[in-house]
Amino acid sequence: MEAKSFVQKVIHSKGLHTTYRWIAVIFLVYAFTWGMLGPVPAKPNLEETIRNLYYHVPMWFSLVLLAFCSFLFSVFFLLKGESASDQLAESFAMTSTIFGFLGFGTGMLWAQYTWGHWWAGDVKQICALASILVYGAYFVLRNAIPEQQQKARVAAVYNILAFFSLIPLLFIIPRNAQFSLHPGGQGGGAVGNPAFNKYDLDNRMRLVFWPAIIGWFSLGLWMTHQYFRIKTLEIKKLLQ
Amino acid sequence: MNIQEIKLILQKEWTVEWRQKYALQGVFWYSFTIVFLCYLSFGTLKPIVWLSLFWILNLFTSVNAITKSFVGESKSTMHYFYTLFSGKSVLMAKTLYHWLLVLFLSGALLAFYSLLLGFPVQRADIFFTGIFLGTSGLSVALTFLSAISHKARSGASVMAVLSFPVLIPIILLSIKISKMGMDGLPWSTAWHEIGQILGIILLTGALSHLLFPYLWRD
Repeated sequence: MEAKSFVQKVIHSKGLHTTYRWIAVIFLVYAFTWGMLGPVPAKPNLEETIRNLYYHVPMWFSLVLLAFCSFLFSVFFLLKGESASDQLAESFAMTSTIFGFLGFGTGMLWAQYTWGHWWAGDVKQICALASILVYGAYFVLRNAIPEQQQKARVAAVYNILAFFSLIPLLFIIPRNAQFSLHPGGQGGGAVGNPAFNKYDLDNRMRLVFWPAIIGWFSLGLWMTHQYFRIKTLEIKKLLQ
Repeated sequence: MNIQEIKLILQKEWTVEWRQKYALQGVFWYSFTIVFLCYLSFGTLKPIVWLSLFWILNLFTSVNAITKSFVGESKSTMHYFYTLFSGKSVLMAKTLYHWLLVLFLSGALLAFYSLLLGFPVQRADIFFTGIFLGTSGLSVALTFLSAISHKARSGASVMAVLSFPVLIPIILLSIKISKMGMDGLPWSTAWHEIGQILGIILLTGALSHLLFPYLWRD
């Protein structure tokens, strides 16, 4: 029998799937309950909305990690040409986009309560919207090509380009902006990493924040796997 | 990739361009018409609006001019190319050709635009550096995106959807640089952005160079 490839091993590893499912359940239940009940620092203007940190920021972490996985599987596809890795890349891109919308939604809700507008025209909102457009275009491209092999290859090429255009949009432009409403953006020159600044990460909050990130990312993996299975069934049906 | 092949492809592009002049003429008249339309509808403009409007027109003209680089080629031409040249020389030649074409077009656009709508720029050197870098970035990125949408076979609409979001960083940075020129700021303020846009152009160029062979194999 032929040795299983890396991608096949990932797909068929029972242990891996069980592990992240349990992690997602345990960590998210913990983050939901302790996130609501636990103590938070009292900040003017933010008040209790600071708990949104456990939802909004993990969404962006998961988006970047999932987009990175999608990028990796696209590279695998171009190197090895296994159609499973293309489907995985598509599934990861799909969950990544969903997390993008969720991050956007939670962010707008937060903006409405603290900045006073759903859309505040902040540089990070603009760049986040642009990165969602990039992934939207990925799905348009996939649907524009009817033939499976061709679709997989062209989509993989665009996906790699898309990931690299995510880097300036999420990590370079926002940090060079003169002003941003996001933390770390005031006082000329938005320097530093918005997620790791002194302002919010009180030690008590860290105890919920990191588990929340791990939990949401694991949930993203779970969603990706389900989406992948649906895709595989659809293709099976097509081939019958 | 070798120089001889690139030369041959450039020659072919140029000959075809002159033989069927409609494409070049079309882009020219397109840019003149939209500038004229803007003049009629806006009259006079505030400097910041002047700059943004120029970049939007420049973006549309460049997309129009470059879309045809790969999307315009028939499948059989590409097969014929495949037997003759390496993928990397084709990409390199197309990028070079469209880089020159778009530089020329945006120069013409700027000339006509400033004739009708004025030229409120205080430091032309930084301003033109911004235009030059931005247009170069557009041509590198758009040539590769045209190669991607060539495979999608649905032409210009896919091209527009694919290209606009990917081009946002380039457009934002070049607007920033040319705005510094417009406001008459010294060079020392612009180096940071110039470095960034050069980085993005190099990254896009390197990526397209690495990835094009995968698109090329049919």
